[in-house]
Amino acid sequence: MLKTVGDSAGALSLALAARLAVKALSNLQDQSAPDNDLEATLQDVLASLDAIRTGGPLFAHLTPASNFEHFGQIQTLAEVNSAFRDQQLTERLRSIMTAAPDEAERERNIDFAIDFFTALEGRALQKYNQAANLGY
Amino acid sequence: MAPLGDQLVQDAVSLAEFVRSISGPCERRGGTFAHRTSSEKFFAYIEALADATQSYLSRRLQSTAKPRDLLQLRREIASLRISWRFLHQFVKPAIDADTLNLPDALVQGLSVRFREIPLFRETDFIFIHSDRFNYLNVTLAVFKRRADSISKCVSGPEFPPNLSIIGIPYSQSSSLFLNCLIPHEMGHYVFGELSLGIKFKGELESELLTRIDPGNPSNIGDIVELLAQWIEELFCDAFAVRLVGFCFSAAFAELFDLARLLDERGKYDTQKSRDGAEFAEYPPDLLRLRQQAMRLERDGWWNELKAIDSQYATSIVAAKELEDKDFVCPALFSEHSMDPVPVIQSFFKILPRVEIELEQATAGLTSSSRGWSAFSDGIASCLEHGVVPSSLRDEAGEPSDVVTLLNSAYRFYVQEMPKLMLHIAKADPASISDRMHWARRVELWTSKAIEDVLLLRRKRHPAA
Repeated sequence: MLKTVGDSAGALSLALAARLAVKALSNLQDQSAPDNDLEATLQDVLASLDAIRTGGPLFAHLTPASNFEHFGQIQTLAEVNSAFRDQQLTERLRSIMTAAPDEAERERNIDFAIDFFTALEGRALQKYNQAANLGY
Repeated sequence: MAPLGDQLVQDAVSLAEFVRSISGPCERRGGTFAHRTSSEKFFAYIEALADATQSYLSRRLQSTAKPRDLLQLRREIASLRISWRFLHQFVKPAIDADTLNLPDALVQGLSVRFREIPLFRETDFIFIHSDRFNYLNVTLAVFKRRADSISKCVSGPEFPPNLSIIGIPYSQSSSLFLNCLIPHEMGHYVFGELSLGIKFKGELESELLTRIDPGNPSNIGDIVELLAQWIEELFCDAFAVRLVGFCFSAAFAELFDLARLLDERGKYDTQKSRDGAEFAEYPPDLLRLRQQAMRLERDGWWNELKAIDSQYATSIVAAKELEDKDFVCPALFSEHSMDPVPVIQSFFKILPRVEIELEQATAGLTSSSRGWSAFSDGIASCLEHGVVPSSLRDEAGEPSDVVTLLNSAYRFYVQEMPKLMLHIAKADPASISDRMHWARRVELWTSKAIEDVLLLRRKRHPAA
């Protein structure tokens, strides 16, 4: 009894956050700077990626709006991070928040970020389907 | 193969039809069934979100031409479909929970009591039926965020603020005493609204890292997750006790048959009474009961509780004698290959913070034991004589209140049923069917009294 519907919750929330990031990044190609929501998402992802990569505390830096409140969400990020290893993931995500002198480079980084968030969305949805028993 | 644009039209039509199949029952509800205002808000939200989803799909199809964008739209459609599958699970249970299939007086009474907390004066609850024997809270912090993410994708409406969802087993739609567990679910709402999960996870992680060298913090991530879940459950138990008093703990002891662990002296044996692996999703039952007992004492219930002649009260009183060292959680080693000692030490170091957070969250809420001395015996006397206990007044002319009615009636139910049945010809207190029949009557009389008292209080204090 007394169960909360929060267990698989993390996965779908993360997938939707990643989807919104993809949409914002698609619009960003016509804008000079990311909007507040996208910037918050990027910073949230970067903080958790830093914790994963450096072995620092996973929960200490989180804010109430974080998409990584659950360990399962952090694990999903870690798995996608592994798939993007050696591609300067954090540097390229960080560069989106700063004005880049080279427009073509910025476009490539935005495309890269779209690929990353699409992968994060896909992995999170896969986990949600498993956790929620959404079989076929 | 058809051009990508044409394929996307089919994808969008398929999703739109899927969404309508979910929102349709909301649009077709009504007839002879009435729902609470909070449920009506939920149905209106689902209908508006369905409209927004369909409009959005039309707009996107018209404005998207590049193959890359079309492929992204296809992914978005897939995410939206899964999101609607998530919403699907709440629609029918909410429709089924009409006012005739809910303990409506209790639900109203508990909602009124909850809104006495200054921080949550605007909160309301949608009640849904669960087909599992689970009381559940659809954590608003999770549900609203997710619903709002769906809305943001399709430029739809925001989920109404201050609205939470609570599930009760469909089989308990008319019982009173077992539904005294509902306040625990209200506690989950409070815990989520105040973002206490993140706060406690940070504290637990930091505490664990001072005692364990994990090599990498991710090695203790699932332990933090689980201990934070324990903390949340214990917070919600303590919140429930703070809100409604011992009737929550009695229902808890009743539902989980915790008296089965008592020995012949009415005590818990620290070795024999341990049940199960003790390191599962929920904290050990006896730890939960001990923490509730501590809260009951703080809220002025202790002497009253000790005087109740019932195995449920005995269970609570016995649990208070348990010590931290009685909870050793050997499964931590067998299932997680971790030394239980530092983990449990960390947990007990953080546990007192639950009470601090609870005090802050419920600041301004009157004590649940406030009306006990003035009304409990009078309520018992009414029930003993088959009278709805609505007309009692204290020295100031105030009627009783929901919490006092619940606790007094619960005490009567566990201790004094034979007194009532002595007044009834051919009613045998030792007969299960007779006892069930009259216990059901006590629940109905108490429910009626709750309705009456809510009306009387509203009349006396229209501004409250």
